[in-house]
Amino acid sequence: MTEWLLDGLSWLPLAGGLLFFAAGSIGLLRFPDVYSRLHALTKADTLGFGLVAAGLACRAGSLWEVAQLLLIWLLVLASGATACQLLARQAREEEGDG
Amino acid sequence: MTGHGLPHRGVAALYWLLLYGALWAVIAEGGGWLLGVPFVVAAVVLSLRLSLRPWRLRLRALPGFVGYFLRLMLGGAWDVARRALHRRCPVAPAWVEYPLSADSAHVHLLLSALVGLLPGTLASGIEDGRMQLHVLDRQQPWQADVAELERRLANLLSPLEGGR
Amino acid sequence: MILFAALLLLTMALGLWRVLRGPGRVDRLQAVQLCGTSGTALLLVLAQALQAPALRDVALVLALLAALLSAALVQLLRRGAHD
Repeated sequence: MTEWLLDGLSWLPLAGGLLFFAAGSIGLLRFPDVYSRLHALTKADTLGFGLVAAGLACRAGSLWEVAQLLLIWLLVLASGATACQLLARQAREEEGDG
Repeated sequence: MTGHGLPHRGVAALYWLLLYGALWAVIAEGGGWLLGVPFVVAAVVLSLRLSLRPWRLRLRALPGFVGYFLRLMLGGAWDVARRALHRRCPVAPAWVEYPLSADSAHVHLLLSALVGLLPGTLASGIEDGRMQLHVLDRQQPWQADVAELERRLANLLSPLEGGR
Repeated sequence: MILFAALLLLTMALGLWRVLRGPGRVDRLQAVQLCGTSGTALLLVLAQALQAPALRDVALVLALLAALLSAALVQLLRRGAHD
């Protein structure tokens, strides 16, 4: 019963995550400059990933699985936050060169 | 790092042991210790040899910080998603500077990384105690969020400054 | 669940279009970040859908590599620019 309920509930964060992933990609296509595109990709995709991970955690078979999902999310968050600032710096330097 | 006595090293060793042990447990789902123990021990020894200093957090401030940060992140993603899906795609990007008030390098490092997840801001680097920020909408009030995050980070990491 | 994975792949493909078009080098480098997040999420969803926990380990490795990859690429570009 609870399993069935959790399965149903998990679709909520999963769908939300997909929505944010889609919004991130659309922002990537529509925003006018490199920096705004970085905003879109970093913020929307990191949260989208978090929601997908949360949805999957509802369906996880064991607590280890939940911990793994959390660990992976933290890694993705850290990598996204670092990458976006490195890329922003790189874009600025290339702009200065040209 | 010559000034550290034995007790300090012992604490650091315990810290790394717990951290790497927990990491192994999560990755291997609580099994495989025959292979795990040597690697955990090797990682602890390596950390001590490299004199890596454990990051000391004020654990009591952690739940509040995580809650606050998650809320901001949700706001940031929502804001950018709304702009991306809006019919006219309203963005007014601009470069601004934020003078840092904390003087801890750890705070600077974390702040400039995490600011990228806040509503409408993105850091590109720090020069002379001023953080270069790109804002998605120059009308948006971003200062308050950045200042609050900086204050909370400084509070979270404050044992680093106090405990010499 | 498989449908969900397919939709996720679709959003990733949408983002890849920007990578193909550029115009800047940084626009293309965003592929690392795009694949790092969407690709890892896709692997996690597939791990659940196909009941293949090994895919979760792949996701873990991918997330770990994505963190190092963009830092390494920027370093590489920078060295190329200064030499």
